[in-house]
Order: sequence, then structure tokens, then C-alpha cells
Amino acid sequence: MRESIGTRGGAAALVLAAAALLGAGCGKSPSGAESAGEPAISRRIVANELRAQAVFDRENPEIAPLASARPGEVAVLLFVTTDCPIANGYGPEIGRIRADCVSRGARFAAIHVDPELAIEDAWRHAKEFDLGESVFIDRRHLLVDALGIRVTPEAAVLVAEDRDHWRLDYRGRIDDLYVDFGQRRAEASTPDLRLAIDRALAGTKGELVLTRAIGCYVPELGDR
Amino acid sequence: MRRRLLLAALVALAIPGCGGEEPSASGAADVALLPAEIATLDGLFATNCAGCHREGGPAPFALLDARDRRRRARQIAEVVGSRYMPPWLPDRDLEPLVGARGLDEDEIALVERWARTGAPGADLAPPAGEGDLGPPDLVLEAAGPIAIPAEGAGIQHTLVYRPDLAAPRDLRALAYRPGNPGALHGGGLLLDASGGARRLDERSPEAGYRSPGGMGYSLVGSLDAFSPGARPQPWPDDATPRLAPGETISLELHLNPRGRLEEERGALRVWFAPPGPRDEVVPLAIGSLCIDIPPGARDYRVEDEIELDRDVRLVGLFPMARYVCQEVTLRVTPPGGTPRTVFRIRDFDLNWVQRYQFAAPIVLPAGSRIAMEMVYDNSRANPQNPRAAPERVRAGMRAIDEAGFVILHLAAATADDAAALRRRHEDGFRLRLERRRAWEAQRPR
Repeated sequence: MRESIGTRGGAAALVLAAAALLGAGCGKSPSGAESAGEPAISRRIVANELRAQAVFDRENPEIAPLASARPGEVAVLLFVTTDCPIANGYGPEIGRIRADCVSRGARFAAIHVDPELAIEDAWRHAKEFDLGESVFIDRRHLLVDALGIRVTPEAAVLVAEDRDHWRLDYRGRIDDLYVDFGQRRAEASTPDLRLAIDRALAGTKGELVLTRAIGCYVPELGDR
Repeated sequence: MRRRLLLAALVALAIPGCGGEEPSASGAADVALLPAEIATLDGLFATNCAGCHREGGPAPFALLDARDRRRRARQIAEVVGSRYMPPWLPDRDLEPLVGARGLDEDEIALVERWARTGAPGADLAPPAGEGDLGPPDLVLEAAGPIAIPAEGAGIQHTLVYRPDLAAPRDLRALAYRPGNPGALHGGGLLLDASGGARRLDERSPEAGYRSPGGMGYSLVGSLDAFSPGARPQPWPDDATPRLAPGETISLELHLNPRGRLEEERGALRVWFAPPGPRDEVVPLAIGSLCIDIPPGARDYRVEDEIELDRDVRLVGLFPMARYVCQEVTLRVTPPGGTPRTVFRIRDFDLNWVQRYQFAAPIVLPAGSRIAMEMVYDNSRANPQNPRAAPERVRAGMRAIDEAGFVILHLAAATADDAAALRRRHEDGFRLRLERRRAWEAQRPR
């Protein structure tokens, strides 16, 4: 069971309470709360360990999207696939978030999680959905595994501690538009990702915030 | 679905250890699937998934190749386990319905085990798109494309077709072939002799007109409705709707924004039944316009019942409701008999509702009673409620309003019976409008 656990929401809180009661679980989440089946991740991210293929670089090399940080810099990583209707439906909002990040000095990158995605398809998709030119394919799932990404769309907000290290501040949904797979409200009421970006840009330090993203599972690496 | 996930999470928590072989929910390591089980699964995927999840189909990705299914095995197991897929709303243990999809508990468990054990299987052949219908007798094109916005709630757009018939024709099937299959999320069809659809179409500068939530000229009457990927559903050989000269066919399309500006331009395909004697299928609506659901109400009910004054056969039905409807039930009671539930949806979803046709029409002698009940949940707990903060919901024509009708499709044995049922349908709607006005006058604004 790899159900993602959000720190907000009754069912998630209940699972966390049950985990504490049973004394089970597979490790501590970065915030210190035990979480069922949640991949054990470190909140401290080493930039150069996480390399992905750059879609818009002429040679398409593997580079580190988080390399050469400025201390205090904020990075937003948005994990997507070309064929997830939920991720694509967020296209305009992702475009607005990207523009907002750029205008406020934050780093933004879209990360494709399908290890088999053709460069041409990623390029076309980025143009179609206005993802900008900082687009990568995480063919080895180095970013996916390090940040515990399960579905698309799912986002991570990080703050640079120094040139080579980042602190994960937020991981989860863009907002609460989707209640569950196939269950979409008319409009979102909580813009979780935007709030996380605001906190990070304001220099607010606190617990890691996790929310449950609704979307399409990250394709497995095993079958290629 | 969340209850299932939570239970599975709690069970998983009780299992010591975190690595090694992936255990099933029962804690036992999974046994590899037998060849016969793999063949069963391939059959289930072919029957329940391949219609939409094929190249060029309405679903976002194809699942015909075994490798594609394997890559998405976890997603498949989750949406099957939650019963989100395959999309089929009615209970499967009542009167058998044509085209029923869905898996029973054992089959769901098998899919979940399949996902945990490497997701084996064979490549599947693409399904025949329109079954055995053959080429259509008429292909009707819209005058222009429909513009779909990049984001926001889904839109409803009605196209009006004017088949040029010299004499009445019996309709075997109607089907819309979309130009942009991924954006289409179902639709409804209505034969219109009133001219209402034609007038609205003529007033609109584009092809067809944007619907306010319904076809804009009648609250009741849908004669056919389809959900994404559903094959054209032929009417029974011995009972079909009849299209008269001068009548138009209104087609209301539900289109979903997909993150970019798009267009839809497809064609309506019409199959006529061969000449011969058969019953005419006419709609008869039962339900109510007196709907006023307080915010937060979780068990608001609408009920209606009619007594038949002539022999008919109940061919099928279309439940007409919107976002906060949860349950739909239809019961029939023969003269002097006891009520029998023939149809039920326990988790109504506007996105997946369609016309339902009984595998064998239900014979109802004069004096039989037909009763409908709809239950609405206007609380935040209802995930289909589009409002983050529930508001008062009333019956109406706007997309955010609610509806509470079941359109019965009745086979009339004679032309007189058909005319009488048609009058009853129209008079019944007028009567309900009058009831609504009287009811409104007594209610707080």
C-alpha cells in the first residue's frame, strides 16, 4: 500500500493516529510524523545527485535542475506526464504559476516522470501547455524517488540552503480542485501550491507540508 | 473508495516489516496468476476497457498492449478497486441491462492481485467501433465547429440536425462520432417536433447553441443518451422511436476543457430500422420540478408515481439529474401485485449516465404502477457537489440547478397508444409546471 498521506484531512490524520497506535510504519517522514508506506525521504536534497534529461538543451544532456543555487532561492518542481488528463487540465494554472515564479525570482521546472517519453513529445507538450523551457525527463526517477512523488500533477517547493543543498518545504497537490480520481469540484478553494510558494518566498521556515495529490500514478521503472 | 484505501492502509500498518515480497491486503504473499486467470483478465480488459482505452479512443491512453497495461497496473488496480472504472452506474443484480459493464468482487480482487504480481497478459485486438450496425443510413454534419475553452467547468452545447425525411422512419440507432474524442464526455439526444430547438439554433451565431444546462426549450424528454466510449445502442428490433418528417434531432454534447483551446466537430450517424411492423417507443417522464434542497441536506428525496391506463412494455429509461443526486430507484407494481425494484443507481454521476435499456422489455399491463425515487446529498461530504460551500439548490434550467426526472421509454402497441402516451408526457410536464408555480407561491424566497 503506497497511499500518500497528507498532513491535512481527516482520513490522513486517522491513518497517522493508527500508525502511532500500532507502532508500525516504514520510517519517519521528514516532518517527524510516521506515515504508512510513505517512501522514506530526506528533507535535505543534494542538488547534484538529482539529474534529469533537459528537453530544450540542444544535446539533451542529463543535468541537475537544482544545480548552482543561491542561498534562499526558491525552486518549484512540477511533475507531469503528457497523457494524464488531470495534469493537462491544470495546464493553464501551471502556466500562471510558472509566470508568477519567474516574475518573483523563483526557479521553476516541469519534470516529466514517464521514463520512456520521447524528447519530441515532451517538446511538443511543453509548447502546447506553456510549460516554458525548463523542462526535464526524469528517466531514472532520481527526482521522483528523492522527493517521494507518486502521481502527476504533483509539486515540490524547495528552498536553497547553500549552493548545493535544498530544503524540501512542500510536496503535494496544486490545489483542492480534485476530491478524488474523477471527482472534480467546480473550483478550488485552497491553492496549496501557491500558498507554499508564498511561504517559501517570504522566508518562512517551518514543518514540511504534505498534501495528497490526486492524479495519475508515476509509471513504474521496472518494465522497459 | 476512501474507506477501502483507509482500511487497506490500516491493514498494511499491522504488518511488521517493510520490504521483500509485496504482501496482499490479507498479509499473504501473492501467488502468481495461473494461465486461465490471465486469460480471464484479458477478457475482462477487452470487455470493459478496450472500448475507450484504444488508439484514437476517448480515454487519455490506450491499454490494448499488454505492456501498456503493465506500466499502468497500479493505476488500473486503484480505479477498478474504487469502482471508478469501468464506468457503469446501475446495480447489476436487478433486471439485466444491455451493455452492462463492471466487475464483481472476485474479479476486482483478481485485478488487484494481477497488479501486484507483474501484471501479465496478452495484447488485445481493437474492438469494433459500431458493433454489428454496418454503415449508417444518414451521416449528419454540423454547420461549424464548437469552441472548447482551455479550463473551467465542462460546457454543454446543443447541435440541431434537420434530417430531410419524406415519410416517418423507425430509428434503429443514433450515434455521435466525435472529431475530438478526448474532449467529449457524453451527450443526450431528443427528437423535437415543437420547433424549439430550431428557433434557438437560428438565434445563435454559431453552429448550434450553448445550452444553459439542458437543451434550453424543454426540461424533459431525452430519448437517448450516451457516455464516453459507449457503443451505439440499437433499440429492440420490435420497438423503436419514430422520426417524423419535419422533426429535428437535438444533440446536447458535454465537452470538457483539457488545458488548451480546442474545437469539436463530429458527425451524427443515423441507422434506420428495416420496414416492418413494430411498436413505437415514446418517452414518458415521471418526477418533479418541486426541488429545493437546503445547504448541507444529505437525504433529500424526490418521489413520483404513475398508474398506467393501457398495456405497455418498459424498454428502458434515462435518469435525468445533475450534481448532487446520489441515488435513483425505479419500482414497478403490477395490478394487485407487490412492488419490484427494477433499476437502481446508488452513486449517481452526471459524467457517466447514459440511456439504459433492459435486456428484455418489462411487460406492464394497464393498472400497473411505476414509481421513481431520487435521493440528493447537498453536503460538502458529497464529492460530486460542485460547490465548495454548499448552497441552496433548486430545480431549474441552469447547469448548476438540479433535476429530478426519470424518462421512461415505453413501447406502445398501437398508434393510438403512442399518441395517448405522448399526450400524457406533454400534459404531465404542464401539470408539473403548474404544481411548481403553486408550490413556489407557498415557499420562502
